[in-house]
Amino acid sequence: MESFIKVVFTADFLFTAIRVMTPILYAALACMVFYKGGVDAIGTEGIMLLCSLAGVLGGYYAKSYVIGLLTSMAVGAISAFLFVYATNIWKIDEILAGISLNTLAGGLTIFVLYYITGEKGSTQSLASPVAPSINIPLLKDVPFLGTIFSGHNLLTYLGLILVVVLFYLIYKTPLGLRIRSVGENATAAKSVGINVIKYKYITGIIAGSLAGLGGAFMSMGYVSNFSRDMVAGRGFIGMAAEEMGRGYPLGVLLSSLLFGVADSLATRIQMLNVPARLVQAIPYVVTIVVISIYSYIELKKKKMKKG
Amino acid sequence: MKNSKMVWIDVLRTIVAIVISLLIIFAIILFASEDPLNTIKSFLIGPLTSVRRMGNVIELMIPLMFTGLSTVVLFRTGLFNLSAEGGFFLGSVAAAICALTLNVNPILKLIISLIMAALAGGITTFIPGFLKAKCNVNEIVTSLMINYVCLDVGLFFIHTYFVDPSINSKYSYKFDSGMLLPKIISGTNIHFGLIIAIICIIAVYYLMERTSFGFKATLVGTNSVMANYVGIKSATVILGTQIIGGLLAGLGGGVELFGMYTRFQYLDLTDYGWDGILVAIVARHKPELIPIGAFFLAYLRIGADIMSRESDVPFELVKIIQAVVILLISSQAILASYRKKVLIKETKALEEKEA
Repeated sequence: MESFIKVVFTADFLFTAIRVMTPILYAALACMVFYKGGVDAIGTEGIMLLCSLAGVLGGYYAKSYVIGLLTSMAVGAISAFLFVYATNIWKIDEILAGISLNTLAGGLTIFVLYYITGEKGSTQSLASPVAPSINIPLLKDVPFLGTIFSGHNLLTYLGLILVVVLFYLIYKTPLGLRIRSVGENATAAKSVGINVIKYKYITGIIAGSLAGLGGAFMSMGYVSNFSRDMVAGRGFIGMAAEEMGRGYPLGVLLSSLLFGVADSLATRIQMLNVPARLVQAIPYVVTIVVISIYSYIELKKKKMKKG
Repeated sequence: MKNSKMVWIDVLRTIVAIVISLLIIFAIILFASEDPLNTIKSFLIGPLTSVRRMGNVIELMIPLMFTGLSTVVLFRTGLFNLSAEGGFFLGSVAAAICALTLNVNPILKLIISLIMAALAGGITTFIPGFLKAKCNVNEIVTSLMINYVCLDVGLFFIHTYFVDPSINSKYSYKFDSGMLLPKIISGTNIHFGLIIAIICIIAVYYLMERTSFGFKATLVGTNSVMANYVGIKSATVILGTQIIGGLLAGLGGGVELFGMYTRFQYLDLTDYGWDGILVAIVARHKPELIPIGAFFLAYLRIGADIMSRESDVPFELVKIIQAVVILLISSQAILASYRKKVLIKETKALEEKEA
């Protein structure tokens, strides 16, 4: 047990957990915005993958990580916009369209990768810029806390700031109110004169950009190049984190952190001869249990109201 | 309504969707390939050029038929249970564990292993279905999470207890050769699993289209209010479909393992669950059309594989086709106005008959 604490509860470990949390946080925030605006979020996975390649390519050609990030956000926004278009104008089932988007991303990224680099594995041959890490003055000199919270990637800090910004946007602005009203009851929103499809597009653009940043972090922060299928389910885990956070920004942040902690725990714990695979399964099981309890309580409440 | 034109319009829409997606693919190849004609040729004709390649198509159809059929049943009641992926994986894990631990004669061992595979799949898909039916939990999220649980728990057992130390990869010990599914056509790897798959398709067709259970399931899926009104216990029907869907996925995992492999080799989820969704969509969610859906996808895959070896266009083209096919087939827009016209005409004709 002592060795367990020694290996796990170190500043270094908590630093890693925050790093691992970052893409999941972006995915979860994207899913949160999608759901608020009544758009299904299953395509987040594919959008992130498209954006992780787009960021590398944008950054490589412009020789600037800022352009890379902007490219990612643009590709994310455009894909989510098209998703909303296809599901509302062509009347394609949202979940099937999302699955299609995920499939497309898996193929298209490798297709493009192959034509640009001649390889199907990664963009290692392209010297693409990465988003910088930032040392926070003063904080970095504080022992322990400095090691945990300072020196993270720019995108990690941006993600944490976005948690606050999104809270403000969704709950404190007229735009947020309209987005929520469209998401909660589109018919009612329409009856009071809200242009439903317009707000769905706005939802898509915001959520898509967030997913784009998450994808960009994968290839421009977490590691320094794109490799095939590198998002590896983080979009789906984002959906779960959103569900577990009940759609509240702080809840979403905490549940993303849970996934971050569990994932880095699994990597660490291998040193201690504990089955890492089982540890890796824990956050998924926890998610299922927690959202089941929530839903059960909500169902009971509804029944109480009715009865 | 049996002879209704509507069925044919749906078939026509599927064909239109497939043709459009092929045209898109030709356009991509034209743009991407140095020698587009030969690329298209090896993609479209490639799978027909040898018995072995035709065999490859049929071999690939087998797991696709299982997960496609599983998806048809899972989605029938209106749930988007996506855990056929996990069910298939856990099914093959369960089959491998039985195959490596039981000490009985090979045939009996094979049968027990396949039963355990099916059960493992059934339990997997039951969980999201149960949580949806009883606690109203979003089944998409739980089923996606279940897939990862299956992967992690499955690999934990295989890697902890069954890895063969004599080889360099993390593969399990070899299965008893007497329990592997026999090849049924020489010169190919087409195995007995094909027959099991066809039996399953017939059974599911009978269950879903010819029994009251199937009728209830369809009603719950298309009109749950009506189903409640006429006194159908939706929860029971939903749970039934979710278990049966999982049994099929799990059985598919076991069949694929003993048909195509001699050891447990998977290191990640197989994606056959996702493919099953495409197969089900192409088959218009009809059990009897599953072989067509599975053939379509298997043919594309093998064609793309041959193309990627014979030309400069990568295999991943096939994923782009898959995406386009899903979009086009599930789009209500194709032939929508024509469909509407026919619907109105038929309804009028019926009304006149009544009068």
